[in-house]
Amino acid sequence: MGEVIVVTSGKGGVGKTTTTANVGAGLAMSGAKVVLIDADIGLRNLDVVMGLENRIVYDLVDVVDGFCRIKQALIKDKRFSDLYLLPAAQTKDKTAVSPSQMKKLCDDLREDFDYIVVDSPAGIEQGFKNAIAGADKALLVTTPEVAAVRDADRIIGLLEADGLTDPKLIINRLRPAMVRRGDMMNIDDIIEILAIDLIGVVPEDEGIVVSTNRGEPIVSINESRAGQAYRNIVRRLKGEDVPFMSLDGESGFLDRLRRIMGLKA
Amino acid sequence: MQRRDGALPWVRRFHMAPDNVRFAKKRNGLSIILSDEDSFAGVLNDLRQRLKTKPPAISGTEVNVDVGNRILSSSQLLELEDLIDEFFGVKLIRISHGLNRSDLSEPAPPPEPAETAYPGLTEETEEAEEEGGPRPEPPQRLESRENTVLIRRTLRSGQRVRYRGNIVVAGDVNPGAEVIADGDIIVLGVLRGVAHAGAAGWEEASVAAFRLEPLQLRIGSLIARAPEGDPVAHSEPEIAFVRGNQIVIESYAGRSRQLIKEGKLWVK
Repeated sequence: MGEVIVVTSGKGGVGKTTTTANVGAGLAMSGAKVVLIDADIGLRNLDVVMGLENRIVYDLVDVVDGFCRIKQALIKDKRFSDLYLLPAAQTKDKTAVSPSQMKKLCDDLREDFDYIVVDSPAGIEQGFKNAIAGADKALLVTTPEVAAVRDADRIIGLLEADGLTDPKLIINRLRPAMVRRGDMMNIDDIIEILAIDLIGVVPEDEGIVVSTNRGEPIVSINESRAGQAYRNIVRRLKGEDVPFMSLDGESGFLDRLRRIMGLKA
Repeated sequence: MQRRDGALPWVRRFHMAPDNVRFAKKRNGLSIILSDEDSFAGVLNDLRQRLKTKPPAISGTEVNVDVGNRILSSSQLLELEDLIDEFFGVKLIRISHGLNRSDLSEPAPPPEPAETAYPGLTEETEEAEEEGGPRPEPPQRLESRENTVLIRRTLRSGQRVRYRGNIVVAGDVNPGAEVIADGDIIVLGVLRGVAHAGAAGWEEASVAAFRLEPLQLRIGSLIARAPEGDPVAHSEPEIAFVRGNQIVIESYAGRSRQLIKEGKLWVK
């Protein structure tokens, strides 16, 4: 029986779609059978970030309206084994689907997949309500900025009200140099306000821009720090206890020694 | 809030002069009376125009705004506060509801104490209205301030608690959350949101927290926010209360304890 994970944030542009793509691909890389659902009807992006936009025939609204079977709408990713995408509709809007329809869809997909990862749209209205309707677990993405944290706090309140009581936090686009200068919130500041478990910190990485434009999830790129962060998140999702990457950039002697000896991630 | 003019035949029906905004000088400041006849946005705009073209002088520091037969939302309240601040440099405004506007030709005695514009505050004002004539001091509703509710969790952005008594939050109040009490507010955590104590007009109310870092603090009809660029690290429990018509914040462990011992604070 599969697990439904929703990736949400409240604030737009903090990295939900990128996280959905990379966490989904990472889970598939680890051997699980994964389907990604783009719940951002009208402003779909997951297909672009996955590089599958030119293979869309049917979409989420077609499925929910009964116009086609689920299997017909699913797009199989050619690079990762057992990774599928259910794209959103671009020519409709978020009122085209109801929370109960989403819940039914997620329940149907549970039979065939280990993980169902839902990309939530920004905001707190119908699109968000649809996205969380079928979810068992929530991943909350925020950037280290006051406005994003404010919105994330609101979302936690709404998730709790809907029964998703243990959202896990991903802090995205952290810039350690700015944190050191005191120009950016640090991890502790954010956790102090949000007070939920941290499941990952993804550093700012130019490679993300390249990877999303190319449609190649960065999680498969070994040299990338962001990719490494996403791989760690996937391991933690599966229950492993993975120490957090040192994001400091300037490593002390001991750090370097540890790395040489292969003891550091 | 209903105005039952029909039931009070000896009260002259209030006819609106063409102006949406009228000024009246008071002992310690200025009274601004807003008409009922237009929307709040319209009346506020008229006020802005009047203040630009013919600003009245104020001889004291108090600005009393009579908002007519309206209940203001907190964003409307904020707009009004900003407008007054802009023109008078005064952060102190009392908001009243103009219940006894039967006769505007004589300067009305300053309403005392002013109520704040929050919904659900109608009982005492309606009683006062029944009696007609000069408005007696509204009953302080002591009983309501003896009730306390305990909230055992953190209040998140967008959540709002309103209670006709005291409120204790065993958790944080995050920015974007609001706590509104007729009595006192105690936060066993960090207060970063908006807290309004004495919301029905009781200015002896107080707000205390392990760490007091509110976006905005309101006690009775007074509103305060942290001074710009507040660098002070708040690392000890503090309490906010009204002294001399201003909201002050003191370390909880210090003078305020003394005041409590002397019966001057938190005792009524």
